[in-house]
Amino acid sequence: MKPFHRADDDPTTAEFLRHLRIAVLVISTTVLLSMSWLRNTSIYRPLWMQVLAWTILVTVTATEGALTWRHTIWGSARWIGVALAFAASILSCLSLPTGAPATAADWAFGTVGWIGVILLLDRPMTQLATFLAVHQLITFTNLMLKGPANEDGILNFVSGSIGAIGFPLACGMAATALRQTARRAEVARAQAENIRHAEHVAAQTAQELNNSYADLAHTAAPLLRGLADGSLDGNDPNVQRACWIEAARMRRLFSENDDVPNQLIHDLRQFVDTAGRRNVRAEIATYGHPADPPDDIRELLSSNSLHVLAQSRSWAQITVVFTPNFISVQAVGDCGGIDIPSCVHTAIATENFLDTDGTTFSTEAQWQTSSSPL
Amino acid sequence: MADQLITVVICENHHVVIRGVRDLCSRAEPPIHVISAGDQLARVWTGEGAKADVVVFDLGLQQEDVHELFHLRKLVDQGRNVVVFSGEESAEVILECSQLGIMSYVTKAEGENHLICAIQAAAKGHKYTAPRHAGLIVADSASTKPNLTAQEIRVLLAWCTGGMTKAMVARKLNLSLGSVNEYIRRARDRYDQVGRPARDKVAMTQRLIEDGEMHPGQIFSPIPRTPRKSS
Repeated sequence: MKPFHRADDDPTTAEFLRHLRIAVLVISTTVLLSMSWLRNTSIYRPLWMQVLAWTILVTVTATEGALTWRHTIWGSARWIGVALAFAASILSCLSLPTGAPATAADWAFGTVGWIGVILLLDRPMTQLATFLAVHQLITFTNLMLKGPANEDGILNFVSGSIGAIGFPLACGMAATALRQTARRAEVARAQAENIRHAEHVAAQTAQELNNSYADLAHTAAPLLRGLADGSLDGNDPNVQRACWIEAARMRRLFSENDDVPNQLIHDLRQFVDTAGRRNVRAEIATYGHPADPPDDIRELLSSNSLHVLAQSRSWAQITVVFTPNFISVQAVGDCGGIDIPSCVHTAIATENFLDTDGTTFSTEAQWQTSSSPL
Repeated sequence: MADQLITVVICENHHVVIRGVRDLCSRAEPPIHVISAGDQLARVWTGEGAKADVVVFDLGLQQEDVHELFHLRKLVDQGRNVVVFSGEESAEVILECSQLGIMSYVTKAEGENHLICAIQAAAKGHKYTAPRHAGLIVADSASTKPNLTAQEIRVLLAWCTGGMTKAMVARKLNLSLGSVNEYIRRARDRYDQVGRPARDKVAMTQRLIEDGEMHPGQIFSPIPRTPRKSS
């Protein structure tokens, strides 16, 4: 554990606590710089113990100032600070003369508690309470040893404890309450952000879907128009092929809303089903654990297979291989040499091959999911 | 060997499948002689069946509560050339059978195109890796999987499509047919040699039972300690 480190609180809690830290720092600095011990220098025996105690507490407070400025918090150094605070409390008690404990000369009694708040503000409440109890015990023991251990002395001690212990304890309780409130606020903020994000994604998806439907207007609509007005011949193989591609595209578009385990395989099955209705014996085989590529990659991976399925005359075979390093989609069919638009995406490698029989054509699109070379 | 008549014995409980395999064998060049066929394992070990060059074995025979892989292991251990011909297509079963030491695993969907090639290879004592099997090797992500070379992956990928002959694969990858066979063989051999610890324990237990060193009832009982003799 580092002596000091960045706070790992959520942003809301960190902001709340920072303001409280500054408030405690101001109180501690004011209390220390009032230097009430200067008014009683003649009674301390020896004086240097008081000076040393004051210097220790000023050092801890100055460190807290620097940490607050740099947005860092106490790490393991916190416990050194706690030990130093107790040391200052004991030093001050030792150099107090008889009859002085819990009086105006016992300046450390009302100061060390605030140093405890500085050191333990972000810790569980019980730790600060323990710190204050130990500090209280040191002062009380000193009172019992040096007096006056009478009714007045005890009353002095009790009334002094309101300021010395009560205020720092209240401050610690406020910090605890603030932390809980801040955490609830953070959860509410995160939930609101998630809802906003989901709404944004839904809006974007709807927009993309609308764009895709709009694209159909440029591809499917002219075909339908042509068939309706007789300018296109339904018996023309080219027209049939174009119709098949558009039908597959539409099926893919409709299936994008389906909740399926793997969209890539689902898309390809849609193509295969469509080919089957065209009396093409089409089959699909998958290997490995199916993974979901991003939408744009998925469409590019299945695009080549779509062309092979559309133009195969009697059979086609689709093969999808998922490995930890790549996803490969291959299509083989008796479609002969066909023109497949080249893939411009740099992450996808494509390879087309027409066998010497001039009929069997194979195409592969491979997406490297990791940087490891094949 | 190529000119010698190949003999097979078929362990299969579906008559339609047996008829289909018989038909494929009769149309092979040269024809393959089916000595015996049926669902009784005894035909593999007795009579003419015991001398058959190749055993075509279907999983799912349901033999008296004894796991079929036990029989498969026994056949392999006895030096029989086994071609598993099954409808079971799961990676776990195919790879398990392969690691037992069978010559080929051909799924029933691949039968028409690959069973005869598998039988012919097995008769010569060679392994034949059908496309489904090849695809499972390339896609397996088990930690025990040996690293495949880039060329082995390319060949297995092309072969596992099932839509191309090996000659086509060779032309596609600008390799000789021999190289294609060699890459597939090398990948599968390395793959088969990787023992899976769990399987090895089972295999070891099976071997102990077969050799009479262990009784099946001892599997779950503590090993008796031999009292140490005082010196």
